Amino acid sequence: MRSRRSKPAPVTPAGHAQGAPRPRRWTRRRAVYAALAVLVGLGTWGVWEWVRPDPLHEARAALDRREFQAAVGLLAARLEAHPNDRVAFLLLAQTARRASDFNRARLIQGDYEKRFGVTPELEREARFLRAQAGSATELNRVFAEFVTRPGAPDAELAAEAYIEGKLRLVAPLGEGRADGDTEEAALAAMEAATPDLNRAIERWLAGRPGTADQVQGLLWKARVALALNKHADGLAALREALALDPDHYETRYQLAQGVSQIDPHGTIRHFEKMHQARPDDQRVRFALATSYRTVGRAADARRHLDTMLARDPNDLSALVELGHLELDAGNVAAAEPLLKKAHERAPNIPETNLALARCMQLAGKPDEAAKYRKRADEIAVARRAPPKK
Amino acid sequence: MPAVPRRYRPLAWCAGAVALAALVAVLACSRSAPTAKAPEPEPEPAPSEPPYTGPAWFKDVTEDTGIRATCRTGEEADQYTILESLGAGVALFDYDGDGKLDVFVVGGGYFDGPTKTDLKGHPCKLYRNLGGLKFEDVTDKAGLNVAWWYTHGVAVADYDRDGWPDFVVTGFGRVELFHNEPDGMGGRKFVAVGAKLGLTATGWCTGAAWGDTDGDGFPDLYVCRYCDWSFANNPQCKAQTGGIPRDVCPPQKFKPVVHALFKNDGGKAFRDVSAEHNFKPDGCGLGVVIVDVNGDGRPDVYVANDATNNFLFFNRGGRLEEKGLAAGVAVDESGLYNGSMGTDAADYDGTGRAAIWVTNFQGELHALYHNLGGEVFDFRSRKVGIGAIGLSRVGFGTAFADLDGDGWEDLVVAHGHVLRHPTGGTAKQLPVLFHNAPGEGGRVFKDVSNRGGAYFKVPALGRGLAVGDLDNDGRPDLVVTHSNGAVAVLRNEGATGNHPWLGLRLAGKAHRDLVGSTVTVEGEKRTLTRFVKGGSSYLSASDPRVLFGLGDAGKVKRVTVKWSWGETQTWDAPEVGAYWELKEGEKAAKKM
Repeated sequence: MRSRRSKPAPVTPAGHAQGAPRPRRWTRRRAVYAALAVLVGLGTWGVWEWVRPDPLHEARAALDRREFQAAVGLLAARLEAHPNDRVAFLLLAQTARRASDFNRARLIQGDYEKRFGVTPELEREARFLRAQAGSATELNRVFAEFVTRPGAPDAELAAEAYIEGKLRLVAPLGEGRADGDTEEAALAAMEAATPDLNRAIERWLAGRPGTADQVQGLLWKARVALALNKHADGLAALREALALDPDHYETRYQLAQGVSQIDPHGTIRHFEKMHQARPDDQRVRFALATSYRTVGRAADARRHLDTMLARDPNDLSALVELGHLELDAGNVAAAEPLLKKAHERAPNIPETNLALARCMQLAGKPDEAAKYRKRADEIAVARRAPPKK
Repeated sequence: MPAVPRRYRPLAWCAGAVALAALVAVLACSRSAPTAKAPEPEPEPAPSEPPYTGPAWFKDVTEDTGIRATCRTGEEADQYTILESLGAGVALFDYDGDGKLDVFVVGGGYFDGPTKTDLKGHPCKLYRNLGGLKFEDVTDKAGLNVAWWYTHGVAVADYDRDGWPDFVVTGFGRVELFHNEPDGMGGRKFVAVGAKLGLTATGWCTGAAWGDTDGDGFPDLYVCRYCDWSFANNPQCKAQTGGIPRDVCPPQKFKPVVHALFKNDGGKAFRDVSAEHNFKPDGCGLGVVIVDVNGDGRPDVYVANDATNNFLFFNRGGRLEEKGLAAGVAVDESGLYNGSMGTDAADYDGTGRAAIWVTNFQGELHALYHNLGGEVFDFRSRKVGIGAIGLSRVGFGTAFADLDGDGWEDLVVAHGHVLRHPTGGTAKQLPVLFHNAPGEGGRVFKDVSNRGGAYFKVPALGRGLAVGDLDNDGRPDLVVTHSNGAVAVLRNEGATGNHPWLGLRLAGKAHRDLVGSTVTVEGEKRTLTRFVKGGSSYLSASDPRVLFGLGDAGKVKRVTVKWSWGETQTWDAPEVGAYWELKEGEKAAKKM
């Protein structure tokens, strides 16, 4: 029997004899390496878990940026892969609601109920939806049960639904200023709603420190102030919002409009900045064109209106505005086809009738001008009349 | 920091990598808490004209003039009536025939009595021009220390053709005509003759203008009425700003009242002929200018109505025909009536036609109605750049005047809100100077208020405004009234440079009324047209003389007057730099 020691063991570069009993230090080191490998593995897994593309995770991030449409897409992708992900389902319903897509939100809530039954989360979301859609009863309840109650679940989301729903009732967007008594009534309603609205906004601002949410809170603040005709306060809130996010397009748009009465040149500078950022935004292009015309920069206005009409020869606003611009310059012959085209497309709005009246007047056709003026008056009167029951 | 032993380096790398990854992940996933930032600065203005470093066009010389008049509204009684929103005007005219413009300031009024519902008049004041821009209060001496009522406006004319200017004062519930008479001591005084001559008016009388509308040589009087407010019809109105319980009511809360046209029967009597002209109660009248706008030689009447369509009465040989809407001067470009206050008319672009200018309420552009001829006007405020001052101001007193003597009529506007708590700004507002300058496709008006001097940098409750050459230096000066504030006298000091000028005082035979006449100065390079106007501005009356800045018009060749009664007369070029009297039928101009 050969002795196990008959042949000297080769020596490793580290000086340890192969086959020799490993020293304790070596064993400890191996254990350390093993532990290290485990740690690295865990760490890598952890990091991957953090950073790997996860639609749900990305959707939440998009919601933090208030990019609702992006979030909807991501959540839909998540649900395609995991059709029974309750969290994603509910988040999708919530996102649709937050994006004011109430019909879609209702449909998703219905699907959720079919799949998972009525859960407390669904009930809460359904209430938020009713509130945000403008249900006065639900608004009051949501305000009392969520917005003002310390520690209420989803209090900030409740505040958001409350603010949006309340503003929908008392200061709807896109509505022109009312006349006389209606205006007074609207202001009175806004005044009555203001303390609760401000409380909800403060709750939102305190609980949602993300930049996008802070900007949104300030936008609400501005909207409340402007609805109260407190223009200085409204503009201050918009400026604060823009300081947080100078690239916030909607804020700059609102600020541009807000300063138009006091500083038309400032309005133009805002719109020019927006136009640089999004040259294809026709809303801003048109606003820029009208602003230029207001301060007498006809050539600049024309450049933008020509571009709009090159893209869409039937663009009603551009047709009317360019028609006015031609009339300003005394080019009645050039204005007439533009304004007639606009009138053909929209014969029942005052703007086209009045523009054509101006054109006919300048074309030496006072009777035709009177006809269009009369039509514009009739439309305006009909608009002011209370709706028939 | 001690070096990591070699054997622990892999561990350190791993730990570091894990920590870094975690940190990156945490940073990536955490919400970024916003930090307090300064409000967003406005975008940098585009490079434009260099800042103005020249002399101020106007110097506020009120303190040195001796004019200490104020116009009151009674605001301190906190009645919040619409009455107190109008304010009062000022007139510049040479009442004593010394060749220097005197200043009459309408006092306004206040609320008195235990319930503060008794309307009382604040005294009107007459200041005699002593020369060198020094004035003396001659209210008592001139017989004007009378029981004033709540007053607003003033209009000046020689109603009886005795060669001396008389004036009418309007106000709430009353007008009064003051006849200019010798005082028996070599001076002049005024005597109230309204009741004697049948010139009495009830209702709320505001702007007024004289002009011979029926061609008999005697000036008739157009009196605007505002609305049917009284303490018996005094609703409480909520402020337009949230949280403020009360403010002055808008005119829409009241009904317009029919305006008056007083026919002057040979200077011996007046009668209201508004019904004969089919006047209707559909305009809250404030400003009025009488001027020939259709070039037929007859004076037409333009009325700036608040919150109702503006009127334009074409003079059809004594019959006034209201054609504002058809002519394109009743509403703005959007077909909407404006809250119109002040008005004036001028040939701003060298066409020889009178364009109409109107100052409007907040949210509206002041209106420039370009005169296309053929009784057709076009709203051109945007084209001429008026929009550059924004829409936040409420315009009142205003005047076309060639402030810098360059031969083109500039504009000046007094601003000030009617509400105590206006939305989007303060009640006190900045006045504006518009310079008539060449621009894109024609003449434009550039806001040159920064050249105006200190007065144009301080917000005020501007109301009445009159323009006139107070020191006969060929530069139009300004006098502006303010609600519950002192009258300001602004001397034109830096505007005109070295432009030549020509001042003209027209005189018809037997002191025939001249309103509606047109004056043209033919220069070597261009012809300048000015109009003889009645009324204009807001509750005020400006210098009746016609002042031409000649700018680059070149050497004056001749002056032509187209009298309002249809005749035309031409004078050879008078020497520039002086005032001349052009008398109907006299070949030679007389230096004044």
